[in-house]
Amino acid sequence: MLSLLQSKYKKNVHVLNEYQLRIGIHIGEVIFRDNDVLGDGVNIASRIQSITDPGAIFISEAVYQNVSNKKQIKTSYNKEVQLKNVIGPVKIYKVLIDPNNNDNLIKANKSLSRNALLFFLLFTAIAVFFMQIISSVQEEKYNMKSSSIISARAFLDVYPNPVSTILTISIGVKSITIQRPVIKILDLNGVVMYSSEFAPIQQAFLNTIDVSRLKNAEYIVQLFDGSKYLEKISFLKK
Amino acid sequence: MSDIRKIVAIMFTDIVGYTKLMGIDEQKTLKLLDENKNIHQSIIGRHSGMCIKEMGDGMLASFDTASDAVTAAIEIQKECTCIK
Repeated sequence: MLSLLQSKYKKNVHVLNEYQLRIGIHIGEVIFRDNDVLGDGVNIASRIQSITDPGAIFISEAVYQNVSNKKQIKTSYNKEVQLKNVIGPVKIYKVLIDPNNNDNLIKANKSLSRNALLFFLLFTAIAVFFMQIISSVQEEKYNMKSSSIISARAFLDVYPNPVSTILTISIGVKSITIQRPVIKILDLNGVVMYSSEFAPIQQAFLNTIDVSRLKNAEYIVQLFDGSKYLEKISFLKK
Repeated sequence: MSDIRKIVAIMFTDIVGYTKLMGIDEQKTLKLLDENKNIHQSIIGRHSGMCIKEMGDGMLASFDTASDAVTAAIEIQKECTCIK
């Protein structure tokens, strides 16, 4: 009989294009009398139905509490309303008819069950905790590093490399002043081939040295502040 | 008097803009009402629900459980989308 009815209405499609239903559901105590049903529960269901969006299913909080643990039923919190002739506000939830729909999925995420929400909060708290530990460790590392390089915020460069005659030495400093800059050129045996002291360097420094007299080999340029070693760089004499 | 008190899930449904539809095309709307009623009765019956009242475009049904009512409502909405 049922299948007969179903096949009947499936044949009569496209009656009116504007056909949309509104469905409201509430759960509560009611009175059955003479093939009728009466009571507050019926009134609330009727009021919920009257505020439902076209094509939607709205349910009361009581219904939501009964179905929230059912995997096949997805809902989203909609609003809190004051229904006519009903004491107190009623929380309304919307049933997601097609949870695979993207739009609905976003809403479904919002209406995660309490357990899932707790899980999420716990996870977030743990993640934040670990991130703080990591960042504090990194901060410590950075502090250690910055304190060790604080005196070495001098950037030494030489060019051209390889060089044949005139070597340009470039020094950049950051946040510090090199009071007594000393530049030394050593061969790989540690023999000082050149040594000279310059005026204090506050920002940048450029100097040229004639290295044409040096033998073709690799050399090291060292930068000192007085007797304090700062930086080194090597170059090739060709 | 045979009053029976029970905790049930109550479902109300109605057709959006029913009176307007009647104004546009009475014949078609009556046909639509029939179809709508058939959908409701078959789906509500399948979920051990009970059709209590018909009110023109609307229907009042009761279910033993909230999940039955919600599942039936989802099926009804899906079915009426198919009709469209």
